[in-house]
Amino acid sequence: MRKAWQPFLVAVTLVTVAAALRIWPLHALETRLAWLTFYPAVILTAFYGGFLAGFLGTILSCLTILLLWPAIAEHPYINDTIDWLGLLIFIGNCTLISGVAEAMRRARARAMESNKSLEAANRDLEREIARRQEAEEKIQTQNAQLEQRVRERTAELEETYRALRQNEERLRQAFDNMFEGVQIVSFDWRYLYFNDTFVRHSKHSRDDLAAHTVLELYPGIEKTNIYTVYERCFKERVAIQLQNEFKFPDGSVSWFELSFQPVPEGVFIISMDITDRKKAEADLRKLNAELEERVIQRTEQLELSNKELEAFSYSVSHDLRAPLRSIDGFSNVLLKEYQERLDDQGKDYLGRVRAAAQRMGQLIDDLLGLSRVSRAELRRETVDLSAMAQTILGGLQAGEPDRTVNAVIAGGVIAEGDARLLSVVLENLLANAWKFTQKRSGPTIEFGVKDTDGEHAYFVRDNGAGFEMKYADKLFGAFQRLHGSAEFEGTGIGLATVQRIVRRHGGRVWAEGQVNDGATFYFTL
Amino acid sequence: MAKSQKDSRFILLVEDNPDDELLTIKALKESKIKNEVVVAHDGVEALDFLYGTGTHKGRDVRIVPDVILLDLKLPRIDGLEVLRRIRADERTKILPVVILTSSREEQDVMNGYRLGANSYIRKPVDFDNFSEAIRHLGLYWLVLNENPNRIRSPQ
Repeated sequence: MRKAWQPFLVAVTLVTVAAALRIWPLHALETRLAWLTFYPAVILTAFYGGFLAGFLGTILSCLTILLLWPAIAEHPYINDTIDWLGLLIFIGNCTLISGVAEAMRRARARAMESNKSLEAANRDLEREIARRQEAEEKIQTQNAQLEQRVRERTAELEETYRALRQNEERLRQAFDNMFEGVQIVSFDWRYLYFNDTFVRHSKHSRDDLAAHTVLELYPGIEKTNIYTVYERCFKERVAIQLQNEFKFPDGSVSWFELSFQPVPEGVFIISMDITDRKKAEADLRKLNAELEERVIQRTEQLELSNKELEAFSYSVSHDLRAPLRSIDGFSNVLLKEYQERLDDQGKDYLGRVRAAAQRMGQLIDDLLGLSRVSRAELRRETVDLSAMAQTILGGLQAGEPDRTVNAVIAGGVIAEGDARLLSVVLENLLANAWKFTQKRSGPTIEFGVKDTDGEHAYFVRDNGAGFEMKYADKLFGAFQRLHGSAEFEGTGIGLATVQRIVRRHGGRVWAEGQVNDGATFYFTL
Repeated sequence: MAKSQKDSRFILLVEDNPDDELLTIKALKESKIKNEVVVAHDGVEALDFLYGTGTHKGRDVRIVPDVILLDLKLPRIDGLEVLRRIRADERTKILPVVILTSSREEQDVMNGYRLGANSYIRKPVDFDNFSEAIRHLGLYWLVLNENPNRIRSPQ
């Protein structure tokens, strides 16, 4: 910025320069054109510094002329009125020039001012334009992004739509080809969808189903149970499953397994024709009932024959023995009271009669024992077989105190079973061992338990008469004997009884032996 | 019969089989048991005797046997029923009753004891064993055993 005093310095300087120029080199002009150099000085000052500077230049120029003039002309400048006029003209001209210069300066200043604001406005405008451009670019970028996203979303939607279409197609195909009937019924009872199976189930044509409501196709359905199921599914929006016997308008009847599912449009129903299954079930029920009836009848028959058998046993027990008692009793009376009149042969015959009667009595008792074993209720408990064997052998020893038998009884042999029946088993086996060792020197009877194939096999072993292994399976049949009565007495029922008891316990019995080298009887429980 | 019964101990044998009746009496004799034996051939007759009814109408029912040998399988009324009625009647409630029968069926033995039999003896087929059993029986019930009726009403 120009300082306020600069115009005045310019005025002083220029006037000084003008004065110097006028004195020298223009002194040749002498007194002529006295103001020649001062005009440009004032004009320049005015144009530089405005009116005030111009006016100062004018005054300074006047003072300079008035002061310096004697150095040029050797006389004062003012000599006459013309000189005053010249001075006044100079002042007037210069003032005019200063005014014009001032006006021009101001005009220029104003022009510059307005130019400045114009430039500022221009700059604002440019900034605005730049901002707008930026915004526009941003928008364009956003637009591009948006478009990209729209494209992506569209692609996604298309993909989804395609997937949906595919899915729908798949579902439709699945429904169409389902073994079960599928139908969608709207709230106004129209078929919105149905598959081929349902068409078969419905006993109507595809066109009929498409053109009519359920109520039109099955008049009277309103009075049936299935109608209330539809209604419930429509109104309460609940899933219902049921088996339904459906009567068609033509009078035929089919059974359907139905699944009702509420869907937004109405109800979705899956149906399966179970008429055949129902028929099979009914047949099966009938068959079962018949079978049950037959089982009941058979059981009754069995119970009856069991009762008869019991009555028979009872009767045998009472009645069959009575005559034997008479035979034996009166033979005995004869032998005692009529012995003088009987010779030895007669007595021998009577002895045979008695022996036979007693043998038959034993036979009857053994048979009854065998049948009792089958009828008796099995009560399982823990049984000490060692102690049991000890007691039985003690009893046998007491019966024949003269015999010496080496008894080897393993201690602590425990079994689960019916104590009474197991006692019968051991009685029979030990009595056999006792019996078949009677003709042997150094008889030994052994009782113990042995693990074979993971099961406990209890055994009774003796070193007596033994038997041939090829007859081993005959041992356990009723009345089967491997020895004659004369050799060893017996009824042949004991081992049959043993086998029956063991089998009733779920076990098995077998024997090993060799003639004259003893026998071993094993049993499991 | 009535007179001697009043004083001496006697046996009531309820037996329908005449052979068994004869053999029982023989066995008793062999065992030197001299007591009188009254025989009833079925359940009805036994009850008539005990309670003075039917064919035994008017009999003095205070005279009771020392022991009753009772077969089970009897015509008309069977042995178990006879036993039941004896035990149900105040007059015979404590009479000794020995069941003497062919059967060894568990149900018979259990029912016999359940109805209050004093003893259960099975008749063996072997006559020697049979007379041995009868001997023991007579000895026990007629000699060793104190009869409750005699204590209650001495002559």
